[in-house]
Amino acid sequence: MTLEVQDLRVEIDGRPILNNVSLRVPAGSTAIITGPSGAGKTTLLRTLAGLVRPSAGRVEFSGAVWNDPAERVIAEQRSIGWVSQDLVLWPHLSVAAHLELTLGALTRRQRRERVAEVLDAIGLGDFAKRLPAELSGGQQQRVALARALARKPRVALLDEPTGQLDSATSHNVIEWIRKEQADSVRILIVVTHSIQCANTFSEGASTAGQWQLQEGELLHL
Amino acid sequence: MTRTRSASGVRRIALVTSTLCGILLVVPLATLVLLGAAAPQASTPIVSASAFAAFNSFSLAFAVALVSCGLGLVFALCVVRLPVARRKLALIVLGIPILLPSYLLAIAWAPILSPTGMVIAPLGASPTFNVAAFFACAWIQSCASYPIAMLVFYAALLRWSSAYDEIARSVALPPITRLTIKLRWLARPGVAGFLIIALLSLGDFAVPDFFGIRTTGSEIFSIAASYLDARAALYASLPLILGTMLLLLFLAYIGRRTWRALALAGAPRAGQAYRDDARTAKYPAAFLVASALGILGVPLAAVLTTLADGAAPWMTVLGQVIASVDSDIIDSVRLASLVAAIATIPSLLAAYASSRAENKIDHLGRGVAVLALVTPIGLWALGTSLLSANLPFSPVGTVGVALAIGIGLRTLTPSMEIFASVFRGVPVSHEEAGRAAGLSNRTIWARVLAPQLLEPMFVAFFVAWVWALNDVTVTVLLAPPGFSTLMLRIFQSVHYGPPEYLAALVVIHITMIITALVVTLVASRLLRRIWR
Repeated sequence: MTLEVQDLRVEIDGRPILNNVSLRVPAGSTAIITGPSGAGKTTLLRTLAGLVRPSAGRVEFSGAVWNDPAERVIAEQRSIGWVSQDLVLWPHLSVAAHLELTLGALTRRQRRERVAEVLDAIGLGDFAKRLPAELSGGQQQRVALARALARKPRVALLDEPTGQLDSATSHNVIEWIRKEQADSVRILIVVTHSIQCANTFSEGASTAGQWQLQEGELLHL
Repeated sequence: MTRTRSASGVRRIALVTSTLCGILLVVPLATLVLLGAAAPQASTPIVSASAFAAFNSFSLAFAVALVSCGLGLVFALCVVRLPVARRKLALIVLGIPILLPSYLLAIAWAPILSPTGMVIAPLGASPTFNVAAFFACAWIQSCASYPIAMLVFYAALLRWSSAYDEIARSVALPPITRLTIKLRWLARPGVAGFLIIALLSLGDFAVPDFFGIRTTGSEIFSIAASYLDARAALYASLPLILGTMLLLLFLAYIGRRTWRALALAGAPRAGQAYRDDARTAKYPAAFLVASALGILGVPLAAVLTTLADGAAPWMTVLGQVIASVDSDIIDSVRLASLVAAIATIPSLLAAYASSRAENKIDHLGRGVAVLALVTPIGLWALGTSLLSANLPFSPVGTVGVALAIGIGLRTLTPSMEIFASVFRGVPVSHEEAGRAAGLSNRTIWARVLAPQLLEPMFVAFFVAWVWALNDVTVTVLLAPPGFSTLMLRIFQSVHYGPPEYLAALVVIHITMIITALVVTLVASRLLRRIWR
């Protein structure tokens, strides 16, 4: 079970954002992509999530084609967990509802149990009924992470996942992400401009490697 | 010295002003000359009369938009200083005039603003009827329109962060510069509000007709009502249509450059609403109460006084009137509900397509809707009656369809603008987050979009409902003998009914609107909780 990206090219309004990006992430490992602001990190994640259509190249997961010039698997069928750097929480839904909504395949009881388990793990057990506007920035970030990982996706795409967390919370959250990865999530791709965040994620994890995006080109470090 | 392509701010403002004045004067005259030469001989009187009427229409629209924007800005500045909890109430109270048909406001204000009224007559200057009527007309239409400007300015002010003031103070900007920055922030919504109000005012016929001012709306209405002559009505409306199109083209041309220069870069856009209580003060509350009493209370007091002056006690009069118009009330509610249902769904879908548009063609729907609003209502009615004559329905069904189309097409625009502004606040990333989380399109609509659209949906339905309830023009032109709505009854009673009967009808009408408002607010609040 491997995520493989070959010669990916993305243009937005005729301007090249990603240029011949290739990447191979085997199951159970973590890929860390760093780079300065505007390098194309978010676009790469959005392309892997199926939210941006590449102009050339190929994305495969576990032998199945996700993207190539002829075929495209839509985002909702990719079994991914995506955390946007803007978090994008739905303002009208409570914390618990954010998670429950993504667990449609489970029974109501299983959903409640899973929501309680996840919220306890990230320290938001007492905040289940709160709306996003009633949470701090760090709490909102944890909700976004929980929403992405609660349904045990095969690939987790995390864009600046600890940007708003203090170091202690960040450590706990990363521990939880690793535990989820060990249980179910096969591949973790973390995008960040913070070297500290990259180092924390790579410590003790089975990393597929670290890459740096610069002006649309992906360089293996 | 480097020359830039764009003109200076002062020159730009001068350019806009002179062009607006030019359109007001030149278009009616040019149309008169061109059509006078080209149109059949019999149509020349219509064209010359309509050129004069178009001049009146533009002047009145200009005055109404100016006064409304002034009132709207003052009220918005005050509302934004109120504590958060009171703001919604203040907006609702101050926004009520927009729900009342301008015709009712004209009836209610007449004892005060007519040449023999209690304000004009004591001046002793015996102003000519037209001058007094023009100002009365402008004021009444402004009373009905200022809530639009108020809401537009309020939305812009909500996005003005107090941090901007603090930064300006920290770099020791003089007060005049700080004020200029704030005014530039408000310029773009101001122009938008001005345009919307001017276009709405151009289409109105009821108030000018009440005061005897000949505008294009009233010209078309009289032509349509008397002769059902489509060609004559079209000739009459040409100066107005041409002028409006020129105006819109000009504004579209200068739009990008001038609006960008007038407004600060990127401001004001959808974003987190500013809800800081730091600027709260008490005096705006008193001011707002006084204003609401002035704008709403004075005419309502006039109506109630008339009612009380009737021969029988007013409750008895009211009871008798209700009993005599109960079928009209049912017809009014039925028609308004049908129109609102027809208008809400297409406008929602069109606004969605427009807000998620990836190319310019997708924006056409919105432009078409705006054109539908700009077209004089008499023309709509006439066109609809001609169309419905060829529809394969029974006579009753045909009238129903014609009324629903005639009124519904005009209500599409405000509904669509409501939804468009909502979709601007619900970014596409909300849907993307749903798709990335594996939600189906149905679930995204049901759980992510619909709950956020619920309140605006109620508002859009309510606005369309009130709009249809208040309509006179289309109904009076298309309704067959025997069919009547409450507004039609009021229209007829202005000249033929006793004052207390008219006053009672007005009270019933206003009560219906306020009841619908309360029901809308309660229902949207109850339903919103279900999704949480």
